[in-house]
Amino acid sequence: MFNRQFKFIVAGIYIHIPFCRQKCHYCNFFSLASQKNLSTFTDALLLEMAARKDYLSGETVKTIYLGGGTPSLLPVEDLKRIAEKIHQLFNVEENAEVTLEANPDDISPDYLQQLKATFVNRLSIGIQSFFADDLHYLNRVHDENQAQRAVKEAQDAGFEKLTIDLIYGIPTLTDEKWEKNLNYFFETGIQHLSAYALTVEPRTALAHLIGKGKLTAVDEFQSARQFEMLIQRMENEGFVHYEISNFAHPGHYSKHNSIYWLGGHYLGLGPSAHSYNGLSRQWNVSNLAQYIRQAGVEGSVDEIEILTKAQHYNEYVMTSLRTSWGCDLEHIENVFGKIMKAHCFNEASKFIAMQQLRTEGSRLFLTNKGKLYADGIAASLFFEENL
Amino acid sequence: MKNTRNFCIIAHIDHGKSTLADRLLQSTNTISERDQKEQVLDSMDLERERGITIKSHAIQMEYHFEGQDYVLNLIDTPGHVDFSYEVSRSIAACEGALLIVDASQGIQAQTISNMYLAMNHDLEIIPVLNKIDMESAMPDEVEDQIIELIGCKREDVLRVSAKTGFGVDAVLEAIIHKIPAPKGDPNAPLQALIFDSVFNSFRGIIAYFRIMNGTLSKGDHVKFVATEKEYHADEIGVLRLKQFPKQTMSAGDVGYIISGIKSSKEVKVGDTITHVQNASTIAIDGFENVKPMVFAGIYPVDADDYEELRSSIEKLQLNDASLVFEPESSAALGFGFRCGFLGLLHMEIVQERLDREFDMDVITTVPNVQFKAYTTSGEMIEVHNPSGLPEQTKLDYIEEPYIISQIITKSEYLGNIMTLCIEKRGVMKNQVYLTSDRVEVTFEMPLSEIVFDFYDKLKSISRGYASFDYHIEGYQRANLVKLDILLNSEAVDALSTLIHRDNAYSFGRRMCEKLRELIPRQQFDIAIQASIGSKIIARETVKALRKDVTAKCYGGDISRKRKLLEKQKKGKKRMRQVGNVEIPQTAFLAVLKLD
Repeated sequence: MFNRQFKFIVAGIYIHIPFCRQKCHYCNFFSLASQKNLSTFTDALLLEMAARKDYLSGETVKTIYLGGGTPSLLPVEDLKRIAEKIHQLFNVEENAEVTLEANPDDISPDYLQQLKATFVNRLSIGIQSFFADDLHYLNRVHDENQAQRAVKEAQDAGFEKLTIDLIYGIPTLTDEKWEKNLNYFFETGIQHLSAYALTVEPRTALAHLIGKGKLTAVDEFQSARQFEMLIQRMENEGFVHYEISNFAHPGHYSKHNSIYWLGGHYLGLGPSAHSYNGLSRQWNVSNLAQYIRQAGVEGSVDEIEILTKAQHYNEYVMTSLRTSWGCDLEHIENVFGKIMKAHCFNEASKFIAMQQLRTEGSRLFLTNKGKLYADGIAASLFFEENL
Repeated sequence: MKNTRNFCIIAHIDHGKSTLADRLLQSTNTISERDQKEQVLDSMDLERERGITIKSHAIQMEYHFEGQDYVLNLIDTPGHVDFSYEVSRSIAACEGALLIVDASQGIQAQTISNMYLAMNHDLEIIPVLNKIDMESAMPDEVEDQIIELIGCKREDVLRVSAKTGFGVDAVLEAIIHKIPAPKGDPNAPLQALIFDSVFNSFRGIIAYFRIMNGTLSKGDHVKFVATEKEYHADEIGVLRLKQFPKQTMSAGDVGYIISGIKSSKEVKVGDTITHVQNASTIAIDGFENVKPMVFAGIYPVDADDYEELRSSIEKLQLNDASLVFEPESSAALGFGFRCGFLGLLHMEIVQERLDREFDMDVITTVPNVQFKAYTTSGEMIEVHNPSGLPEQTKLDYIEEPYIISQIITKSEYLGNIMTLCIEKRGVMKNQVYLTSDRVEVTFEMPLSEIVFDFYDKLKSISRGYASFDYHIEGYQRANLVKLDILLNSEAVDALSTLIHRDNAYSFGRRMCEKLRELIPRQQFDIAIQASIGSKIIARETVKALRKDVTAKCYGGDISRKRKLLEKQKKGKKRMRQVGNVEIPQTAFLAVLKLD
């Protein structure tokens, strides 16, 4: 309905693998620290796929993303079954980007060889830090050696499309260590980086432990400073800051994640996965047993939200401002009308004056300073339903 | 006249006044159980919900007893200190009063002061011990309290459960046997006491009266003594569940008059109605022009709603003559109204009615009492708002209103209560043990001290047991200073207060601390300062927000985050701007939330 930057619609499939060896302290995704039901899960997933094959209305699937949880826990055989079914049910583009999130401790030359024989052609490795104390704070399974080795092995196995995750703002992560983490990253020659500020989400182990005084609280000033360091270093190395937490050399952007930010369509499979087809947003149940029971029968979807025009606009503003494509006033006028455009520009002017937004042609962009306040700026540009 | 009984009910909130009234209406077949909404007398929703009667009403019952027909007029009274003048006028219209006391709660301060009012008007008091069916009832003990207080005989105290209906017939019997019939001369010049009025959108203001002397007929040319206005009695009658028109009413009767009055200001409670011809030369005693004692600014949340707010307050005023207002403007809040209330409850009621009946979203500023400022040229200025104070150089001195407050409590809480009253600049005037563990203390204290947070504190330090009543005593000279709050060096007029010099420092400090909690962090540091004149006495800082950006925004995050930011946007829209600082509405009431 309110499609955006794409000339024609781009669609992707997200598959949520809800298993982990252990839960990371900061994680608020749906996952279980047990591998019980792994094979029945795949059966249910295939059933869900068949049941929801029409959600994307036959659009060409350009990207597939296996996230989690820990998708690298899934047996390669199951991966193959999933791939087969997807190709059977959906119109998948020939060179589709297929990403798998892998934990360093699951990566071995043997596993990578097997993986090469599947449809997976891009690896996202959850490094988070190259230092033991940071990994310990986060309650990650792997250690610093596994972190170093995993990257090397993935490259040796011939995975050309690689990305790693790093986390900054960890209380144990000094500015010097953060510099070093970035240096390690640059040394690998990998062309894509996702770098996240450590965020204390409610009802996570991290929130609980900080509340109890068992872990040091996250410091906003450290986090902001390290974000600024990150932006500077990445710019110096020629990376494009194409989304608040994502950097890549041109041509190496994550096509799948770009779908989220550019208003593309995606079908989310697996418990707690989320889907969007331009009309409605849908959430799957966040309960494995229930998911397995229901996936093929009454369905996996727990909640459906039909977006209003103002909500579409708000999502557009919120996501587009975070990207290097910016928020296009002309697009707003075309899709949402003159009033919304005038509202947007009017609200934006204050931030332009404060040099937190800048304009280029018909587009609004966050300045580096503005990137620190992206949420507040987006909220200010929002349109209220009852206006 | 000899078969008429006019009576009211004196009771503390929740002691069962309305339930007993309903029972009387049922027993006299004035209403059937079927068409009874719970507690008929409390006709406003708000009253029903709060279980208190805000405005008084009246209802007539007919009762056949011992072979004779009686007319019983129940004049209901409001049950809160803010309305004590109205209570006194209702009492003046009666010959008797039911004193209802909850058998598990015992006598409360307010009951006592209203009872004294009734005794001063020579009303026959019928003590009723209610809720005797409750497990926690202590009938003997509470009976002792009643006997001690009014000096009646033990057998005079009626034991009742209004809930089950037990003892209600005995109450009716006592009303007939004990309360004297009204006196008065039907042939004398007309004197009718106005004890209440209501607004009806079709018929204008309807005044409720009790005829003390004389006779009033439909169509008579009457005048109201205090307002000196003249009207024709278009309709007169008695009040049952509906109005019941009559041709003629005379001494002892209670009823209503409709005379095309448009403004509630023309009908003053306590005023005397007489004829234009053959007028009574004497007005009924006790009339007062009620003056508001507590003032606060009321502003629309959305500045565009100013005119709508004005018309809403005007409509409220139609049946609440004690509400006064005038336009005022504030640099922080824009255009609004300075409203005067009888007291804090009255203020709360007005706020709630604006919200419920008119759907108005308002910001109410910190309330203050009415001060008297005397200038060096000898002029007296009534100050309703700290910003209305004359310049320091022209100001000679200020006077503030004082109250006499009665507090009744279990003796174990007495120490805490005395400490609280003394903190509030109270001076103890009297202390009386009502029973071995119930004590009444009397304090003289400045009204301004109870306007803030006195009542809540009293309740919490006495675990809800202490009851409290007050009346205005007069004005006394006070060492007051104007305390300003500055945000990034700009004074926020709506946060200024007049306060006793001795309390200014601690008050200023606590205000700054509270505001630091209430003002959200912004992209720059916000200095919060309290000042007296040019002297800064306290300071806090809201640290700048260093970072406000979500790390992850994939799939389901988008919707979640959007909802969160939409909420934030909504809150932001309701904020007020002073200089570059955005202030949430809650901050304007910070002073009420200290501690």
